[in-house]
Amino acid sequence: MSNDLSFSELVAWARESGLSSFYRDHWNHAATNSLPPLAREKFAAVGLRAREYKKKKGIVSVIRVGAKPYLWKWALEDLQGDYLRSGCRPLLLFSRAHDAIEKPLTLFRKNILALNGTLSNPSVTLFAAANYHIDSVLADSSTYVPGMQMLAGVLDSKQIVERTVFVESGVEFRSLPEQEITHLLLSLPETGSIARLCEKHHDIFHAEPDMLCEAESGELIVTRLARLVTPVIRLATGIAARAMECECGKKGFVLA
Amino acid sequence: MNRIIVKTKDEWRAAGLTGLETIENGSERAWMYAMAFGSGTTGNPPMITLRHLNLPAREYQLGVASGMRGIPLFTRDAQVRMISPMLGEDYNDETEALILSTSDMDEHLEELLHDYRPERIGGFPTFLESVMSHAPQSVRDIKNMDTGGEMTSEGAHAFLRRSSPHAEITQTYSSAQTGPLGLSCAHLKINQYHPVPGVSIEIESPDENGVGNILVSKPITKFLSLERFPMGDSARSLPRCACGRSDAFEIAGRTDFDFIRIAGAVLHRKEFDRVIAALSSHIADYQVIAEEAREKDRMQGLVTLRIVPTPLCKKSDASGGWLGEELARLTFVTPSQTLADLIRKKLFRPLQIEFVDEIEHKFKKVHLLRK
Repeated sequence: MSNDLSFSELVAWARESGLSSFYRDHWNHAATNSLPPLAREKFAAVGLRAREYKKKKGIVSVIRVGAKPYLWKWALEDLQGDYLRSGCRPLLLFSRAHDAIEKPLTLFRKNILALNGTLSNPSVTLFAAANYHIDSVLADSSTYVPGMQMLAGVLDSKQIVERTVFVESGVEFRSLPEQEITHLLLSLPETGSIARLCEKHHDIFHAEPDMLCEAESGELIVTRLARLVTPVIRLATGIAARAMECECGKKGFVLA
Repeated sequence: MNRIIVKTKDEWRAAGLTGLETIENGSERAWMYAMAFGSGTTGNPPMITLRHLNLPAREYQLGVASGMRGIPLFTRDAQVRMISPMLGEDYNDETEALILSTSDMDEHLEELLHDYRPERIGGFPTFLESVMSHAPQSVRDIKNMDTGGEMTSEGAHAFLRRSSPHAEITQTYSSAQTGPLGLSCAHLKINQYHPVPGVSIEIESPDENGVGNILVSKPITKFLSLERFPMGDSARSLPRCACGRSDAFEIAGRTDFDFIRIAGAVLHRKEFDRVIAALSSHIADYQVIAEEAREKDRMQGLVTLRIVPTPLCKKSDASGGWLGEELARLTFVTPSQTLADLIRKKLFRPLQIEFVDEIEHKFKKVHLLRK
């Protein structure tokens, strides 16, 4: 995934594609600086193959937003999330199938072998976690708290040096005990990690390095500066957010 | 590092993570390995092992190994093991894996499958049945189907044959911890396999029917090998196969799950399937729990049948008395004696019936288990 791709270069790539006209049809000759946002539900109206801007080996997930689920493909070469910075033996606890597959594949690319645990079989997960000497936990908003409670019985909390939690909305964010969490990432299955909670100001999220986040309209609109199988360009996420300057000096937004 | 040879589960439990440091120091690539852990459905103490995904050859991986659009219908952990070798350079850009879970089995599945257009589909036979029952014609016309991870019932196999008449169905005998062990050929019937390259199979202490415990020898990583390791499955050797190989074997079942020896009798899941099918007007689903109980100085068998009753059963036999007698009368537990015969001889206690609303099977249907 290129980190130096500009918005206009990404738009030009999507406009000129010989594989898909998905964005061309949606934009209808709009200028690059006034492209209309795209609702997530629009993906459901167009089949997976008609949204492919490149052919690369990868994984396909079912995404459920609104009334009709749709398929979404991630090329393996695009799985590059920055989920861990010091841990190297993570336990993964995810409720959604996509996360339970995507996260270990992303970590494999960094030569990290993940343990894919489950809350439904705690005795086996605890046995494996203790024997692997896990040092980090990756979870979502529904699995983090019960997962940590499960681990508390057998592991010293000091052993877990990094806790990364993924949320999809402000409601999920506010349900978490954020002071315990090392990295809190706002993430959607179509976009990957969008933004990270500021380490100093614990309400404000900052965009990840290859993300453009717009929150001026009250809804978070995101662009991933990467040539994905289906690029993410001005995606209207449905996440209520408000732009805000952060005391750390970087631009950010808060989740409503 | 010298290779460790393990022959028992305790030895494997102690040595399962040998070689982990070679991944952490960067001399081995993480995606070629899996952390396989669990006790499966056995209820045995859990274990965790590092497994190399390329031993033996990768072509025996199910589902997505072939550079096609595949659907691996397994547990999440197994899906990761199927997919992660794709991170290597050997797979072309056409290789894809669709991640499906049981929560996707709804009215939208047909449309999603039509959109995906799989070329290959593989999984637990029970999971495959669920998916293929929702599949559009375009998916039913699939040419490549793999089954594995559990024994295939005659009913499941017949359903898959009917739903996808053009599919070449390849069966794999494998486990999470060992990976592929056996592979079917065009001449073998269901649950019959040849060992895959690098694997040797022995049948230990066969009974009068030739059925004994299956022992496996196989490298698991560069640092750990199984040698005559008891898999916990029962199997028998087969005569020379029409393909010319003389190493075919047939899995009789998971010891203690398809096949429980108790109080001088043998409970077969297939036999319970037969009897329950005959009483299907009264029984919607079932699970047999077998145990041994001491009565003074002698062991007795005790069988408890958990039953999801049909509306007719609730109406006509609320106590389960008639049903219990019928089940005991019809179920053979030796070649010539029924459960009722052994209850009369006090080798078994009277059959216990428990009515329940639901039996949770998750991915694998466990109809017979030892308490």
